[in-house]
Amino acid sequence: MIEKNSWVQIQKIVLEPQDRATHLPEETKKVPLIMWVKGRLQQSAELGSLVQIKTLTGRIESGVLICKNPSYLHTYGTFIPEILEIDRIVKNQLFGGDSNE
Amino acid sequence: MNDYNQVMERKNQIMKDCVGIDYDQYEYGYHAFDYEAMMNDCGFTLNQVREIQSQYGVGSTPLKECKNITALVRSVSKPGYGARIFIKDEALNDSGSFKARRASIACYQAKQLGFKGVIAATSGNYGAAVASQAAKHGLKCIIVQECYDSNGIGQPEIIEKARACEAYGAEVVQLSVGPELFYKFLLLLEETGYFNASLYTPYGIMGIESLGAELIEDCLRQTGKLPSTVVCTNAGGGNLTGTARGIRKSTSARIEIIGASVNLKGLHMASDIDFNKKSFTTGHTGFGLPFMIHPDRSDVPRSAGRPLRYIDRYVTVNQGEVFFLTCRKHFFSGGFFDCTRNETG
Repeated sequence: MIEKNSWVQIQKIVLEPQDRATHLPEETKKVPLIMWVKGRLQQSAELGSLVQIKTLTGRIESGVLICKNPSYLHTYGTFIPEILEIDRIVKNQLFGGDSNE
Repeated sequence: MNDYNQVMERKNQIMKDCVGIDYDQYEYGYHAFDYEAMMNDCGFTLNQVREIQSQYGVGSTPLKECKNITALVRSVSKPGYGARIFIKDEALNDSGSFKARRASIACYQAKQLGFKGVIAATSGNYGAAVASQAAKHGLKCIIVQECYDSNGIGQPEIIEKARACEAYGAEVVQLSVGPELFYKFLLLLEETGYFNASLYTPYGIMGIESLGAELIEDCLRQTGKLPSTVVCTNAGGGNLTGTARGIRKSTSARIEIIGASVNLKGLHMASDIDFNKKSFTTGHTGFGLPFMIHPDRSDVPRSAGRPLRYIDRYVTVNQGEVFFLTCRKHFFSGGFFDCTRNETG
């Protein structure tokens, strides 16, 4: 159970596939337009249930409760070794690489 | 009354209410509108723009000479070719990009007109810029982002902008891939009555004119000469338009204006699958070409960003070429590009 007034994130379908704009690529046409918003939970509820939240600007939005205290967990991916090669190419071109000792 | 087509039909009225500009008055004849009148009527001179920006942490960024890049270019150039290359370090504006110039005037105007808040549709730097400037003015702020594919896989650069916007106190509404972001954007404008801090109002463009003016002054001060060529990253056309207008207001000399975009040929802008194959959220041909050909596809009836009025040449680079240079950013100049800031919109 997530307590009322907790800071949460909800997910909501804004447009079902059949209600979307025309002239979309096929892969986009067959999926819904989804929205994610954060705010304070208006009533205590379980994850996965339909709830209302009050956003930072005071708007009420409704949707499926997906997360309490949503965090920033994005990364910029794994290391790309080619970057080392770029370093070698540029230093060679500008300063002669290994001969620049 | 809120299905997709009904909301889109109300677009012009919603826009009139939320930017304070009656675009119809500039239409004339069969199919023309008076661009310069629209710009002149917005009520800011270049000096006023610069004064506002100086009060809100924007502008007067350093022009830095990229000596290693110049040397690298000269190593492969014909004799006598290979210009001295400088970069305007716009990352030093509050919120970290040139977009602060645009947001500073939009938010100032919103406050002047008595709006309680601002809304902007942006997945990149402009969101952080509007959130930052709105915070300074005590305006509420909603940023609407295209952020995830339909599986909830997000672009890290866009999620990072969401984090920045929230750190500045803005509400962030995140959407999956699709041009109907504009539909939700219109609904939010109707619901809140906030100001549309569009990138494409005259305010959003006039804010960049200071960049063009500074370029001329910086160049004269540091080299004793005017620049022969100015290269502007081009997406929606605002950067190029505003910079070129600022240059023209500062000198009558003929300065070549080149637009540059990352070539995303083969990646569809509205594709749920292609979305996460793009390493650039803006500055690319997916915006650059359609907005150049049809600027009024933007979120206002008549875009103030009109690159074809000012551009002399358009060049493209591929994603790998940009990575090649940006990976060596500190080595080259200590600030040529910042992958987390300058390549997003």
